[in-house]
Amino acid sequence: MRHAPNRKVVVTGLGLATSLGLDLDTCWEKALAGVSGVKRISYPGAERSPVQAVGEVGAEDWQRIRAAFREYAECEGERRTLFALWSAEAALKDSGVLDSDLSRKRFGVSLAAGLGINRLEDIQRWMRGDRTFDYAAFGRDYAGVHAESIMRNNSNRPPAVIADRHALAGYNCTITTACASATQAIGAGFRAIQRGDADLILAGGADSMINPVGLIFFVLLGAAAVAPDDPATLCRPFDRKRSGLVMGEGAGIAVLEEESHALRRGARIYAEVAGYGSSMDAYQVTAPHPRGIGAEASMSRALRDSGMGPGDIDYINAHGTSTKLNDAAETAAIKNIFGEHAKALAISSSKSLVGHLLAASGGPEFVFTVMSTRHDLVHPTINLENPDPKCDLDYVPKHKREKRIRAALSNSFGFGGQNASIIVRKYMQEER
Amino acid sequence: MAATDIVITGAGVVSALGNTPEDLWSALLASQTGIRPVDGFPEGSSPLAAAQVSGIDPAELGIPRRDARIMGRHSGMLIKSSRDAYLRAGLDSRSVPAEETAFFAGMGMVDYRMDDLMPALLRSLNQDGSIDYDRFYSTGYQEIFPLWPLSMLNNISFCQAAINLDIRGENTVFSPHADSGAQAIAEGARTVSEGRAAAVLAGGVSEVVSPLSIARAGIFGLLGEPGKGSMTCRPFGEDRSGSVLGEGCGIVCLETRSSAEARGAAFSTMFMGYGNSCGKETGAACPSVDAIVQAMEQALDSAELNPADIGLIIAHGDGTLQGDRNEAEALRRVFQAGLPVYASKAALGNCLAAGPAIDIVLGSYMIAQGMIPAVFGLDTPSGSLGLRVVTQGPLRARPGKVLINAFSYEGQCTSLIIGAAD
Repeated sequence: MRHAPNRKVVVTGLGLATSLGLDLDTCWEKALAGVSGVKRISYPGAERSPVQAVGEVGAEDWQRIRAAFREYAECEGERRTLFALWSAEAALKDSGVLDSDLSRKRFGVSLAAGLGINRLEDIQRWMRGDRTFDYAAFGRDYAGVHAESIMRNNSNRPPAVIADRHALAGYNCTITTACASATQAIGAGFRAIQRGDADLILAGGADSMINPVGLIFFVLLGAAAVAPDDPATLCRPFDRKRSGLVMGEGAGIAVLEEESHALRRGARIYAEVAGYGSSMDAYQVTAPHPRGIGAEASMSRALRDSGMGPGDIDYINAHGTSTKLNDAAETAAIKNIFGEHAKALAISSSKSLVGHLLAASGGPEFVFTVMSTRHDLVHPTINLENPDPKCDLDYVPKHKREKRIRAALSNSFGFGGQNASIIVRKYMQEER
Repeated sequence: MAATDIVITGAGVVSALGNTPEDLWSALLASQTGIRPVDGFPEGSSPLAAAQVSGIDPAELGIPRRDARIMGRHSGMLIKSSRDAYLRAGLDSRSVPAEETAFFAGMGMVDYRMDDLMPALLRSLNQDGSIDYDRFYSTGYQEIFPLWPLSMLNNISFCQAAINLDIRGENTVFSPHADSGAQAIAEGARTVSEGRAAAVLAGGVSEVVSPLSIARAGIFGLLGEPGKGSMTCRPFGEDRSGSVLGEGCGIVCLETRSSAEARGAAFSTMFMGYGNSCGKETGAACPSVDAIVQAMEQALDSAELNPADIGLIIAHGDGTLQGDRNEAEALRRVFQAGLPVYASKAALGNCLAAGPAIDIVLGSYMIAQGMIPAVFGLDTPSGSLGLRVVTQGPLRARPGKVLINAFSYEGQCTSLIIGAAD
């Protein structure tokens, strides 16, 4: 196997679709201002859903996305595919790369994917009078399954559609590691460019579980916040009264580019991707390791990969799900790695603002981490009112912070015990 | 030969033709097929064929009963293959620590079983048989087993395998088709060559054959005539009519030659290169000719080889009209005429993400034993495709270096190259 180089990777474009809005500036301004995107659910027929607070992409924004991709809106069954198309296009425009002379064989896509959608209609439609499932009838006309059905939508559809629309013929992969997916997809894209397998990768994730069976998914697992509180205050990572995750939907996608490629075309460089690491708890599929050993391993691998020490990190965009177990375990892991420096870190959870985008969560969180590193600004963890003795670090409660960010780390930990951490460093060309 | 070569020191396989590499290889040499009428489907299902796996017992694999309830058949296949690869490579936590062992797999879509959701649906129906979502959200959903959601995440069985073997290193799950299994193996090879792990398990597992997975393949046009389904898979055949789904899993253990030699681990095959691309054929569930050419050329470049160095192609060959046509044209463009072509799907069905690792195991046998089995049941290869598909076998040959193709329904392509580790 040909020896792989170790090339430098930079971020040159960012695209978002979240409950805060459909463009980078709007989302970032609202995040800094501590505005929550979580509202009472508007999904049709969900008035009695146990989950009432969700970070939905608003109805008007959804119509804008559909109008922009009319030819896809008619045939794509899943919201996530349109979110992916929207954010990918936004990131591409932001980077200006399509205006330059480039080899599309060297341009790939690495995207996270979440669960397929299980529609009760796919069973109900083939029920016999005696209320049993008619397999024979189903076998004859299964083409009639719901447009959103898992039988109609493969997880690799979003990256394939993006590649098709923009004729990106390079490496194209789909990562499915639950809530760690998008950070792992960005990690896979980072590695592909480092190794010379591609010059450019659109990396991130798109997801939505706002559908009937999706809405009750985390309720069954006892991980969803279901209190009848004001939706905007329900997601409160690191707060003593946190009661579970609040679902969001949308996408966050970045253009990752090999440094000399970006410099040659005079691209604006947001930041450098400096390191990546992943790990497994190998503990339980239902809960993170209480001391966060897996989280600790992924952070320390990312640090080692970047060649930096704990003292070089100024900001952590936490996984911070607002569940009892995660926030305490993540805090413990950060303390183990960073020691005394842990207290000097600014830490915040984007999920407090946009909810948990599940497989895609690492996408917008990476985008915000890049923005913090570029602008020396950290968005707050909102709704953090009641300190928890187990969560005793600086989570930038309620108000944004101006702080010099030399480098920042973003964490994502998935159900099952897969963990990923990625490090973004302030870009300074004079270092070369 | 170099200390940094990536070698294969162990393998585990689960397939319709046996649950060890040896059993699978001898079944193929004996011209057997694993494709049979589908077993275990409820009465009244339409007649269909698939290559299904049997003989995987969760209890035998040391899986606790409470975990078994949230594990589909794919979990058992993955744990069995991973365990075999790990043990056959002679790994243990003393020779290679848990943190230094990495794990990458391609994994398919995971489908619910009717019984998982039926009670909730029945509880949510109106008198007229329509779904009342108010009922579903208030009481209906509570009929679902609370841990059922975990069984729907395809990474959960991967994590169960990691717990089973205590693997804590670098990892990811690619999905859902054949290319994902190949991407996992390429990622594994890079991970050990870059020193991010001392050993890696990599491969993939198929989807479980069920009414849902068959419907999915049918909707994408893989199974011939909609609703009917083909009973045979004839890669590159004149009479090919579509693919047949297969169940299976393949996992290989990869490490550097120096690490394998230091541990005294045996090996005969090395992993030499990979290439990736994406480009969908309009109106068909397969990649374009250009995309296939690009992946194969990149793989050759990555392995620092010329087309003439390759002695055998193990094709993706899924038996679809357009898919095989495109692959054949791409092969003709890149390689000289007369190069032998093998396709395992004729006997094992379309094992999706499991295909590439299984093909690596088969390719290793072909290299080591100098024999290429005949493609099962292929009496009349399509003349117009212009390939030398192995129809009489086993063919005596010394392939030396083998290129393996793996494609998705959506246009993603990955090609891998393995060769003899002299």
